[in-house]
Amino acid sequence: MIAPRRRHQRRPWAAAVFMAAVLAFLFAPLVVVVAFSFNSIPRMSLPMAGFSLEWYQGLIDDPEVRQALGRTVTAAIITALVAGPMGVLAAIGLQRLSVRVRTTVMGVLLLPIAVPGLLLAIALAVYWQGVLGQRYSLGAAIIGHILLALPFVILTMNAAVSGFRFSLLEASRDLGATPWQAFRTIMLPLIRPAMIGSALLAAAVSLDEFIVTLFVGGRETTLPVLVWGRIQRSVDPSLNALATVLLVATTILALLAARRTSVRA
Amino acid sequence: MTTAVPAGGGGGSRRRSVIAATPLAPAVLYFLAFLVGPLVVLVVFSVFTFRDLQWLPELTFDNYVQALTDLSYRAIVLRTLGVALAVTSIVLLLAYPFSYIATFVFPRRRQVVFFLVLVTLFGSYLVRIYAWRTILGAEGVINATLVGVGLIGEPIRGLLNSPLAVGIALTNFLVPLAVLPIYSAMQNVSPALLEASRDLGAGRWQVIRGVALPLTMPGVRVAAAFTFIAAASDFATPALLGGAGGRMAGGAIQREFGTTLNWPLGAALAITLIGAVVLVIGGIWWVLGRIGR
Repeated sequence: MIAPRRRHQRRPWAAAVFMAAVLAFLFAPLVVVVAFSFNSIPRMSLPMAGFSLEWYQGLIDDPEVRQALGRTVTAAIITALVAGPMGVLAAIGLQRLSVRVRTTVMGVLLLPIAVPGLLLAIALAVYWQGVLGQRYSLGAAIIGHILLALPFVILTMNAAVSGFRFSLLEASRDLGATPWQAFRTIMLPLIRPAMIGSALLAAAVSLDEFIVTLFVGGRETTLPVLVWGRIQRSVDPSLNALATVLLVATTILALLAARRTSVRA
Repeated sequence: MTTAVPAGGGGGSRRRSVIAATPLAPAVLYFLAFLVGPLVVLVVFSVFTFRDLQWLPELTFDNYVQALTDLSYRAIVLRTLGVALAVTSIVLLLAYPFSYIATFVFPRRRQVVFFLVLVTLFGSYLVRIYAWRTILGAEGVINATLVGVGLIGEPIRGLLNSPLAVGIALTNFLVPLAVLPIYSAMQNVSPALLEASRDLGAGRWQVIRGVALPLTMPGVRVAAAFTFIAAASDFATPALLGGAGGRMAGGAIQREFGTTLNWPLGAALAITLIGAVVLVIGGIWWVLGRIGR
């Protein structure tokens, strides 16, 4: 690749400053939350006092937080286990369609990203209680999480599968392999890293999801919904600690996912 | 896995292609059951009647009449669209140069930069809104710094609980969402092409305006649509940062579902808002199309 550095070298400073400023703006709120989570006084203002872990201790001692944590983790695991395989299959199925049909189907499958979260949430809420007659629960929320995670799984898997030569499967079938054998021994090893990556991405989506859970989760609150409830009530410094935990968890999941999905089959 | 058809094998018979696509079935059925179904039901509910805290299947357009004629709701929708439009413009003005610089000025660092942006995209959205309260509050980071330096005597109280605060927070978490499609559109533009137009005598701005921008316009349009939809339908940011003067449509819709339980009106409000959003996006696309020529 020819990098057009020559002309830009005259004034890369302005460009570098602009980029640094945007990155600083993007990271500013994250830095503030993490910094204040270690502040030793319960005031969310400058100057900060000393270093303390008491807000983290408070989280561990809080039964409401522990319960919500359990539900959040459950939701993330189920979302990954359901949305992962379903999205992988969908990505494989997409490859076998003609280009025009594939583009259309792909567009539909990416809808949950484009449709406003609020619209999805109220539609699911009405459907779940008004039509199906079910009570709002964590299960209902997980159904929404899977819906929201699927586009991300399909997008990453589509990139991983698009380079795969399906003639390899055909060849192994001709040599006597069953469809499952052909998939397991030829395709699976090639797409496994991307599969794991996309499942992790699905877990990250679930972990951070808040709007659908708020509307259909009922009393079974997850951590983001708990954060939402407490933010509105008061200034609570333990929220910074909770937020930091959530932030670190989603970042680690996204990091792991990115490392795997960048490996292309 | 049923039959093995070569990738993109659209030439075969229709039946063969349908069978080959069966791996799609679970996802498609899931979408029908939990995306298409609920959305259709929402549209149906929007013409139901709400009486005595109950929704009744008596068809009426009163909800839409109320959504369109209620003055306070109209004001909220107009404010929502205005804030979303301003946010979308600023987001594009930040995300486009950012992606451009990352791709063409510092091509060796672009993976790292892109990854940093992704981290902020997945870093909890509620948490970031919450952080802006700490930053913009009367004793927050900005005011404390300004007072400390001696630039102002009294903290500025109007920073928080205003449309401005909502706009700042929305911009903050929508820039990564806009960078995604713009950045990926730029990866398809050959740097050699930009180099060639420079060699032919084009200035820096001419290269951006005449070559890069038209080539990346599809990505910019997607980014604009994503940003506008997200900004116009968000309800958490206005609720936490907007105060009384910063109420937006998302909050009004949420209230019909959360507090008054008037589902039919809430559904009609939501559909009206989506209609307005689609119209504005059409306008944005038209303007971008003119710019990208």
